[in-house]
Formats: sequence, C-alpha cells, structure tokens
Amino acid sequence: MEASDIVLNVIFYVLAAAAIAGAVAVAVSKNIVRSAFALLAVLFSAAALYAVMKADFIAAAQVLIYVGGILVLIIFAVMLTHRITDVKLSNESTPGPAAFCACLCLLFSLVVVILFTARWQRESDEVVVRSGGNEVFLRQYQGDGSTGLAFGGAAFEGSVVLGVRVDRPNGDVKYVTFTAVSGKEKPKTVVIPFQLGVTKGALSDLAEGDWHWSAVLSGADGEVAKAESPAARDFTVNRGITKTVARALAGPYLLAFEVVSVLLLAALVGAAFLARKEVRE
Amino acid sequence: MIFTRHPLEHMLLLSAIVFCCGVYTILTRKNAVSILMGVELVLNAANINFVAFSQYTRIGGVHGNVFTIFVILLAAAEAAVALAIIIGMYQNFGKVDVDQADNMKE
Amino acid sequence: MANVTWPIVITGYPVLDGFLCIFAICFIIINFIAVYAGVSTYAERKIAGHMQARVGPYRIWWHGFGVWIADALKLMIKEDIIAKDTDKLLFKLSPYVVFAGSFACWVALPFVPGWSPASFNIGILYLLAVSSAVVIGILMAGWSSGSKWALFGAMRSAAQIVSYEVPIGITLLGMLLIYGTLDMQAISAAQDRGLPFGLLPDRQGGLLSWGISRYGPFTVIAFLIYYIGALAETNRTPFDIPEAESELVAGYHTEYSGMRFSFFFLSEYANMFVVSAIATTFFLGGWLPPFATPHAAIASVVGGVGLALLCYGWKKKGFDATVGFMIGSGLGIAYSVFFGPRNEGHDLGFLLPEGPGRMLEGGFWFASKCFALIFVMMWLRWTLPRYRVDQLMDLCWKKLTPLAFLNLLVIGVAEAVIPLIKQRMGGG
Repeated sequence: MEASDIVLNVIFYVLAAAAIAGAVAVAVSKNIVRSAFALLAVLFSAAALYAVMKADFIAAAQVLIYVGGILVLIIFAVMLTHRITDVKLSNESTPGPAAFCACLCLLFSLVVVILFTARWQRESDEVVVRSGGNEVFLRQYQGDGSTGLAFGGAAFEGSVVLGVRVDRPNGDVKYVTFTAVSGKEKPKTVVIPFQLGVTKGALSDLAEGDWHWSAVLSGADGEVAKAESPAARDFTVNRGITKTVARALAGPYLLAFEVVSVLLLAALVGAAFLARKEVRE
Repeated sequence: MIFTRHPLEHMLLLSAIVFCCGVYTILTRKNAVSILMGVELVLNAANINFVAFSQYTRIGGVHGNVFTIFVILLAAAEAAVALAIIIGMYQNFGKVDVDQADNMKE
Repeated sequence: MANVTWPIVITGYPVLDGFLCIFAICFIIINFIAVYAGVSTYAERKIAGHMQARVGPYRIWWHGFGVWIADALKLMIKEDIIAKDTDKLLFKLSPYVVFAGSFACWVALPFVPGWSPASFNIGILYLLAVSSAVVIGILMAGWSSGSKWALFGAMRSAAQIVSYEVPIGITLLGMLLIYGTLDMQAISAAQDRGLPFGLLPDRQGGLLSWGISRYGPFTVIAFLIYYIGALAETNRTPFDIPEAESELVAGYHTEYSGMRFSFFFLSEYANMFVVSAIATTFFLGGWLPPFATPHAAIASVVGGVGLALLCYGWKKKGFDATVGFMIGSGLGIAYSVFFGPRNEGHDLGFLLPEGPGRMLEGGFWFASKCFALIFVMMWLRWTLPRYRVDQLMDLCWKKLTPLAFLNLLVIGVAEAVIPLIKQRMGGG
C-alpha cells in the first residue's frame, strides 16, 4: 500500500465522516442556526471531495457560490425570520416513523443498486492495428490504471498508462516500446518487457497538450511490428479540468450557458421584487 | 473494500447517505428555511454523483462536470427566489412555519 | 493514483515526512503572520501619529518599538470572558473559522518566483473561494455573541463583504482576459514582457509590462476599483462601519476578549496582506522587479534622483520631491525600454543569478510592493471619513459595479480586436 494511497484513503474517510455528520446535524438538530452551520460542513466537505476527484474548478466554484452565496443567504434568512431576542432558535420537527422508514427504504435501495446490481466500470475500447503479421490491440488507461480513458479523452495530472494486447505474436518479440509524441515537447518513451496478453507501460510527467502515441514491438532481430494509434485515440493532457469545462461551456453547452444567465437575471430581479418592503398606506 | 480500490462506489454510497438525510429533512421539518437546507443537501448529493461518474468512469465523458456547474448555478437562483418567498411569508404570516401557512384553505 | 515519491526525507516514512513538511511550512507561515500583524499594529500607530503631527508610541524601547510585543502579551494573558447568553460552541468556534479563511489564502500566494507553499492551477479562484469562509465566520461570531449590536455589526459586515466581492471579481476577470490563466505564478511571469496596448509583445518593459499599464487608463481604473473593493473586504476605513468605535462599540467582535479577540485581529491583518498580494500579482507585476535590465535600473535611479532634485529646487512652486522621484524613475525605465539594450528574456530582469538568491530577490520585490499597498491602506485610514452604510452600498452597486462591467467590456474588446488589427496591418 503506497504512501499516497494511505493519505488519500485517510483524507476520503475524514471528509466523508464530516459530510455525513453535517448532513445528520442538518436533519436532526433542534437549533436552526446549528443546522445552518452544519450545512457549512457538508458544503465544504463536498468541495474537498471534488478536489479529491481532481475536479478542481468545480471545488472552487462550489465554495464560491454555495458557501459564499447560498449559505450566507440562508443564514441571513434564518436571522431575519425570527425575533432577534431568541438565542436558542428552536427548530421543531415532526419525526414520525413514516418519514424515518421511508428514508431507510430509500437508502437501502440505493445501496443495493450501487453495490450489487450495477456494473459501473467498463474497459475502454480496444483498437486493433495490423502490422508485420501481428494483430495488436491498443488501449489507454488513466494514470492509475484503474479506468479507461474516455474516447479521445483527457488524462489528468500528466500520467497515462498505455497498453497493448498481443495474443499470437508473429516473430520473436522481446520488448514493447511505448512512445508518446506531442507537437511542442520531446517524445516520451518507455520500454517494457513483452508479456503474452496485455503489456502495460506507464508514462508520467507529460506536459499539457495533445499527445499521439505508438507502440513498437521489437525483439532480437529488430523491429517486428509498429502500431500507431489512430487519430481518434490521441489523448489530451490537462492539468485540472478548467480547460475542459471551458471548452464544453463555449462549445456544446453554449445555449444552456446563455439561458442560465438569463434565468439568473430573472431570479435576481424576482427575488429583489419579492423581498421588497411593502409600503402600506 | 478500500477507497482507492473502488473510488466510484464509495462516492456513490456517500452521496446516497447525504441524499437520504436531505430527504428526511424535507419530510420532517416545519421551518421553511430548514426545508430549503434539505433541498440543498439533495442537490449536493446529486452533484457528488455527477462528478464521481464523470471523473471515475467514461460514462458521459467529461460532461458530468459541466452538469455540476449548471446545477450549482441553478441552485443559487432557486435559493435566492425561495428565500425571497420565505421572507415575504414572514412579513405576511409573522412566522415561517409551513404547517400554519394555510390561509388559502378557507 | 500515480505513486508520488516524496523528495525530502526526514524520517524514513513518506507519509510522516509529507506531514512534517506541510506542518513546517504552515508553522513558518503562521509565525510570519503573527509577527507581521504585530509589527503592523505598531506601524499603524506610528504612521497615524506622524500623519497627525504627533509621535505615536514612544516609551517602550526605541521609539516605541516594543509596544506591539507588550500588546500581544497583554492579549494573551487577559481573562477569557464568555457571556451568559451566548451559544458556547459557535462562540468558541468562530475565531478559528475566520482565521482559517484568511490563513488558507496565504498558501496560494506567489511569494517567490517558481515556488508557492501550495501551487494551484486555479490559484485566484481558490483565493476568492476560501475568502468566503471569513464571511461565514463573521456571521457565526455576531450571532453567537448574544447581543443585538454584535448581530447588527455582523450582518452589516457580511453584507458589505459579499457586495464588494462583485466589483472585485469583475475587475479580476478583466485582468484574467489579458493573462489567460488562473495560476498566480504564471500571471506574475506573464507581466514580464509586452508593452501597453499590445505593442511589441516581446519587448521586456519592466514597469511598462505590468498589469496596471497594459491597457492605458482602463487597467488603472481596474486597479482602483479593485483597491476600493479590497478596502471594503477587509473592513478598513473608509468602510469600517462594522468595527467603528463610535458606531457599534466594536461590531461583531465586541464580546470577545483576550486570545479570542487576537484571532480576529490577526485575521484582519492577514486579510489585508492577502488582498494587497492579489493586487500586486495582478496589477503590479508580482515578484518581478520594475526594470528589465541593469541599464534600466541605472536609468531609473538616475532619472528619479534627477527629477527629485529638480522638484526639490522648485519646492516653492509646489512640486513634491517624492512624486518627482517616482515620475523620474518611470521616465528612466521608459527611456531604457525604447532606447536601451534588450534583455532577450534572460534573467527576467533580476539582479541576482538563478537559485536561492533570485528567490530572495523576488520575495523582496513582492513583499515591498505588498507593504507599499498596506502603507496606502493605513494612510487612507487617517485621511478619509467613514461612509454611512447606505452610501457604502450605493457606491458598490450603483457606481463600482457598472464601472467594472464597462471596464471588462473595454478590455475584452481590446483583447479581441488588437490582434486582428495587427494581423491586418502586418499582413496587408
């Protein structure tokens, strides 16, 4: 168990405990101000979890909008809708057995779906390239080898695992050389001893940009086969997801973005109008 | 079953628990602002789901992140309007108890 | 998870080494914040004194320098009073929340070239985000104090901070259009070359390449809007309604005494440094020196001293030597940019060679610019009267925000159109 794994596990469990404790406090606390500040714990834990999942832009946006905007609004509303002299603002609830059992059933069904029925992971697609009489199946993985790279997708933090699968090599193959080439940087290479079946090689410290890769099978007599990944399988390295989100928002989601801006403007005007002080004659 | 071996399942479980706490809050609370807090919990649980699927699998590509951004924005708009309505409710009824705001019944 | 090997070995275990390094860096930063805040109080009182034609603190040590140590000791040993009507848990928690919000900003600042305590791709977004924790902490403090005045002060302060985040965000957005990145170190490095209005994008211009001179009066307006917003963010005069003695006793930290109060205090001064540091990074070149070559350095000193002497000679006519020095230095640097030797990108204008010397020099430039801005904040405190709360909100929403939007529009149009014009003129 590597050091970074230990740290990541500890961080996740601490954040998960904070989020669950906050959520339970929001649901159960008798003091409404305490529930509002427990909501703060949940929102910060959610932001930290986004950071653990390497979605840094969303983590910052969550804190900025949710904590800096929505939570401040909620706390103001709590303070404006009670008489100012109560310190211990009571927050009554009607905790009947029906609500509790309904939530338990919901939780149970979700847990069953998550753990037992659904198969979430799918391997990325293989691409077959024929060269030198060999059928070479090419595949890419994320840096930790766990998930397949999305089709034409992005590798985060500059590390990627490339794999070839050769079941029946034609010729004496001893080494597989993975090479990644980007227009702006020097090519990165790694040489892995050949294994029948799947051979994986890891490349790390890749700079940002678009990378094209190839695998060369070689043996004692020189190069046996060379498989270039097709253009559709080239991957992009991003540091963080800001560029990806920005490209999506300015590309396929442009209309949604504009509509949401108009909606926010309407909400702004509507809220200002609704909360005005009525001047009673 | 450690987090780093099955990151997706852990995140989904966590979001399921937060979701159920949010639903419990919506069902049992009497204060309108508390119900709004429950709605925020539900939205956050859904967001964790979106981002987890987008980052840990290739289902949906990277567009889960974009959906999360939109959900955050729309939650802000909805919270602003809901709180304006709650303040209007306080000015009209004198209290924000949803059980007692039943003036239209008669 | 790619296996990251920790490069520094103290004990044998990577996890422990990692935590020790993080602890050491945070320890250094917190100590720096504490000493800086303490000396800052002394500086404030001395500057206030001299600007009001009196001496300020004088008795303890040389010219009163020991006053801040005495104050710090006094705060630490004071009795910890918690009133009866308070919400004890939130009362005890809120100083830490406020301080955590300010302290978390310090780890992302670009103190020296090439190294921040924590380097983020999303530097400035992270800074804006964690400053929101300060608002929540203030509301927590005001609420749990159990007193009407504390609550009013807290709500006013929170409303003020949240309102002024809007013009600050918009002006920073305009500058981000120029730099194209959110990373603070990259933003500092991007102010190395490029002259105003996109002329000669490869010439190293020193002072003329900084953010504040990129688009003529518009970036200067952006800097001023940002600075006014920063004054409001940190509750400094003229926006110190929430903590003015004549208004609300002491606002949201009325009921706090001793060590708890000192946390609020530390966090206010830490916040002042953070907003000055962001202004420095975006507008004043970060850790870059104001000259790009030694020739420019000499030209700036010669020009500055020359013009200062000239102004001193004409003092009767109302010319001020300090202003003369500054204008003279600027003219000297401009002369050197256009007529002096080029640097061609070596050394970024630093006088010391690569290595720890350069990091120290970069840190020196960064700190001097931040402290200059903090000096201006203290200067303004004793110059301007306080804004009323409705005047404050009026200024933000009706004057600064439309101006910031206009600024963003102009900078965006300039960024889009000037390359097209250059292409048209260069190609056609």
